[in-house]
Amino acid sequence: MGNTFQIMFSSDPFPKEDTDPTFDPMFGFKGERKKRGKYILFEPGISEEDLIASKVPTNLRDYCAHKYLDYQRCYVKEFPFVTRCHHEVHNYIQCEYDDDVLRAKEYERERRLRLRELRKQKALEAAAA
Amino acid sequence: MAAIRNCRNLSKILTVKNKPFINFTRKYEELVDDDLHKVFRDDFLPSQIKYLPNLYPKTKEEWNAAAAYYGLHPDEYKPCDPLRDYSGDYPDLPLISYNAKDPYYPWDYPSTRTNYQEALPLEFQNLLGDRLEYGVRQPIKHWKAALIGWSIFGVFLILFWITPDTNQALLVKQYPGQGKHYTFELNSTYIAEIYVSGNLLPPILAGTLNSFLLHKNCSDPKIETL
Repeated sequence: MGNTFQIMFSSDPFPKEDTDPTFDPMFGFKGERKKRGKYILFEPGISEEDLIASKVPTNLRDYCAHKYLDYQRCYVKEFPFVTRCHHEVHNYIQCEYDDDVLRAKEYERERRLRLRELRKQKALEAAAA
Repeated sequence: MAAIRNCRNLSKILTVKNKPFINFTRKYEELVDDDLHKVFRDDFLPSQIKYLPNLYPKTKEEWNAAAAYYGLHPDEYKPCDPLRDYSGDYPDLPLISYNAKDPYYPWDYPSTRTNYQEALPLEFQNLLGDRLEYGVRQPIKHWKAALIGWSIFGVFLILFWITPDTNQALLVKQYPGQGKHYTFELNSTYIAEIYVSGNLLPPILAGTLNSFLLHKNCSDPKIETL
């Protein structure tokens, strides 16, 4: 998973980085997959207007924006003793890490489904021959 | 016409109505450059002026007096370029470092290899024994050493350029409102999590519920496998 030299020299259909998934997101799941960011229980959901009003950069308006706002709010409150905000910063970094893990999982799902497509094609060709 | 009128007004503003300019030109009929060296030099005490270089020599007598003051022959004496590095009448002496001087000569001050009342170059503090060895022939020329250093840096730059990105390969970053995004969990298992996190169920019961739901959802024989 993510092996650079494997990607460079293998003939497998590796997906390119930072591309959209091409398969049905519900394929292979029995029930409904949980939607992201919709069921925030204990943190109040934030809207696009809140992010614009608090001048959050567009590249940070992801699914961790509420934690980013938390830690920015803490920085404003505790300045200059910002080390008191280490919990907030940790929560934000952990959220971004989890986001990256999810993207890596999506990459691996895409790769495996591509391999499965290839295997099915080969099986069909073998059956026809 | 409007442009010409505006131009006339501009000249009026700059000359007729410019009271500071008029007062200045009335007071000073011609602009004379002050000798800044003299101005600043007069700010010092006489006991300090004693150790400062004099003004730039203009006459032959001043030139000879300055040469005598620094212990040099009038033909040998040449003050620093007043336009490039103005230093009054201080002589522009050749840069000879400590290492380039003869170690077997009976110097008055062997630690600096200088003589008593010898005129020293302006950059003398950089030419001492533990500093620049200016005037000494080097085994590798300076430009060659610079070339070697930069080429080593360039090799690393090329390596940085040609090496592939070894980061974990990821799919596109997901932003809310830009398409439908899902986690790898199921809605039903999430209900059990709600029970646990809200302390609505004891953890053992919640765990069994969770595992039951997981088993129910994921062990579907109809999912085709290859």
